[in-house]
Amino acid sequence: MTTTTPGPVQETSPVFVGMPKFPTAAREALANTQQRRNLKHATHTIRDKRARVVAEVPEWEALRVAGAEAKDEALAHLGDYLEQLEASLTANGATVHWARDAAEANAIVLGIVQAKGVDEVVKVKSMVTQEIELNEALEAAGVNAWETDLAELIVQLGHDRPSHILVPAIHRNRSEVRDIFRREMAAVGRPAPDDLTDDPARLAEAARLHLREKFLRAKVAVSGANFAVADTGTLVVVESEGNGRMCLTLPDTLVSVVGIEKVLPTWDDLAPMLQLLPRSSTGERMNPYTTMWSGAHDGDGPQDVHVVLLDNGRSHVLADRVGRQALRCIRCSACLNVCPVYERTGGHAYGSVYPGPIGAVLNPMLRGTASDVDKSLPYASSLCGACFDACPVRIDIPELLVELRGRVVEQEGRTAESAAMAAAAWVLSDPKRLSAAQRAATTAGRLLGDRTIRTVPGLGAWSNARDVPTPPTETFRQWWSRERGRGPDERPRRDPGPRPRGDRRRDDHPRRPRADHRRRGALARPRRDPRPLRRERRRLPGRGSARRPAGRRR
Amino acid sequence: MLREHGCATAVLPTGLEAAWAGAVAGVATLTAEADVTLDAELDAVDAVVTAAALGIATTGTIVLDHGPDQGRRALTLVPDVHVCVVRAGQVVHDVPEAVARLRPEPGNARPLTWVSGPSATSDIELERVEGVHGPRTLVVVLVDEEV
Ligand code: SF4
Repeated sequence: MTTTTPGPVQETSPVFVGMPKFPTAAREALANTQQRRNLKHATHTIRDKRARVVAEVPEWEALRVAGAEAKDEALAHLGDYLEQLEASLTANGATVHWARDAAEANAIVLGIVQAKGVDEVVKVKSMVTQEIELNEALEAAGVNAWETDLAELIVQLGHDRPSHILVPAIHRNRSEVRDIFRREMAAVGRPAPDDLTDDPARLAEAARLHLREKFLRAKVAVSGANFAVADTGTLVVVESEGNGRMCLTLPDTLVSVVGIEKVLPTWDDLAPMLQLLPRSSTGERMNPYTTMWSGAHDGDGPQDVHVVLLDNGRSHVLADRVGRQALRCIRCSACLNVCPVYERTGGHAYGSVYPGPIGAVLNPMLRGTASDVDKSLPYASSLCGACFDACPVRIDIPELLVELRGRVVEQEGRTAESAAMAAAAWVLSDPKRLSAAQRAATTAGRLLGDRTIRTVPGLGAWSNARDVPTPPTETFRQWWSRERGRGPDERPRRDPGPRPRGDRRRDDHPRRPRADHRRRGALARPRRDPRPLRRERRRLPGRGSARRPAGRRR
Repeated sequence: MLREHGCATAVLPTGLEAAWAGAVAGVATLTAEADVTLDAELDAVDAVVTAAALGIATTGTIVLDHGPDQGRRALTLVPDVHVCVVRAGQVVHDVPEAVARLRPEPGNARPLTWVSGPSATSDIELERVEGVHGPRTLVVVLVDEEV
């Protein structure tokens, strides 16, 4: 598929280049017990709140469909709606810029800032400006970019990276925050009070005072947008703290960087979106503050209003028939909070500003699957499906993950996993080899006792991600010869003798003649027909066929 | 209400109903919107009293469209106490109704601020703290016009 890719692929930023693949990064994160505790608490709290407020809305499923349809309509005619958005924004007095990639977008923003002759901007939390690393670009040109969201401030002052879409400092606890404030605030503005404690209310107060000075002074603000309405030329920012309102209201110049997938066809599409987003995101019926502005408003708020429409790999995703639905994402982070993998590894292991299940599909599509981390991301999931159920715009993340895995495998050719599978097939296809392998395994089993095996020599990468149960100390065949004096191989093919009752019942089943016979003979006869391999393996002794339906996923 | 929150000074939008302005005058020293042109001046004012464009019942939201009786956006943002008067007839049932009523007029679009509670953060260990940047106290007065 890489041969027919229109549009630029997003460049992996220097911060994440050389990022180890997911399992390596995850293993490190897993060892951080403090972070795991914070994450578990946070994801479960938000998850429960979300479940409660979603349950209040009987027509939730219809809302999800409406939300997905609005986004699909926008994506299906993206070019038209973007042009309409540009026209209505321009009519409202805003200036619209187009950026193909991060470098272009950063240059546009820097150009506007420099034209104003200022050396600082205040920023509303925005994932897209993290994606393009605007802060770094501005700083390189001598412009300070102050993050004003409390969590972003903690991350910025801690010289750290965000780990969650919604609560970026989820990996820090209160005393760490206090230490960061005490240590760092003075260098960049109003210092933290001397008697600052780790009480969250005191910490928030310190942030209020520290930032108010900046809000009142700043001449330029930079924001993103949650939605951009094409027919009215309105941008929408959804927030909680009020730092967004400050940035969107007080400075005279406002630059908003907006991914092209944020466009909504009509004003009325805000109705489902404003119900879906707060409930999915923070688990509230409505978030404390939402600001909507349509260009520049006379005598109220910023008079010089700019909008930068950013592609940066998005049209590449749009061209992908299956992958396109990922662009519906409204960054609510519900999928992160329900993900068993994210809950344990945290956001940093995903090597991108977009972590969790959506990051696992979005990053490899935006950036391609050339780097180690992007190649490994589609595997950073158990495919349990919780993310799809939680997603307010019905993105089928598991489907996308499977699709991407297929592409990675195609691109890689022979991998450790395919080699392992080939080796397994070779062993399983010949009883002599199987019995030799089983003997070797039981020897290992006796040596290992009850411990779980984490790596299997020779299967390296494949077994790295999977824990293999300790092999039993005796194979079924060894047990059989010990108990009955001769191996099952020596039994006649059609056994006319008496059978245990359970087996007889199954044998009488009209659709499964000779099931009993096949079961006992499975290990004994040389296999000729490779097809029934899987069915027979399921019926190996100790894994009775009764377990089959229970083991199946829906 | 203003007395309860210890507000000595209040700013009023130009178009606020005279009756309400009169009521406030007894309690706090008033400043007109036009007299606080700088945001820093606004920062020194304790409270603001405004009307609203509408209220939403299901979500507990008030929406400001910053018309003359609500003032420009900074007015309801910088002071620490916001008293907002909503008439019962302005309250709609849910979000879609509100969205339908608020559609911006072409050529005369108003900015909108949806407020569903005081400024709040849960960024530190998910413990909710009310009052970060916006007004830390929000008082909504619902007026039953029949009375
Ligand atoms: S993929 Fe869905 S659930 Fe996940 S952040 Fe995006 S919109 Fe939310």
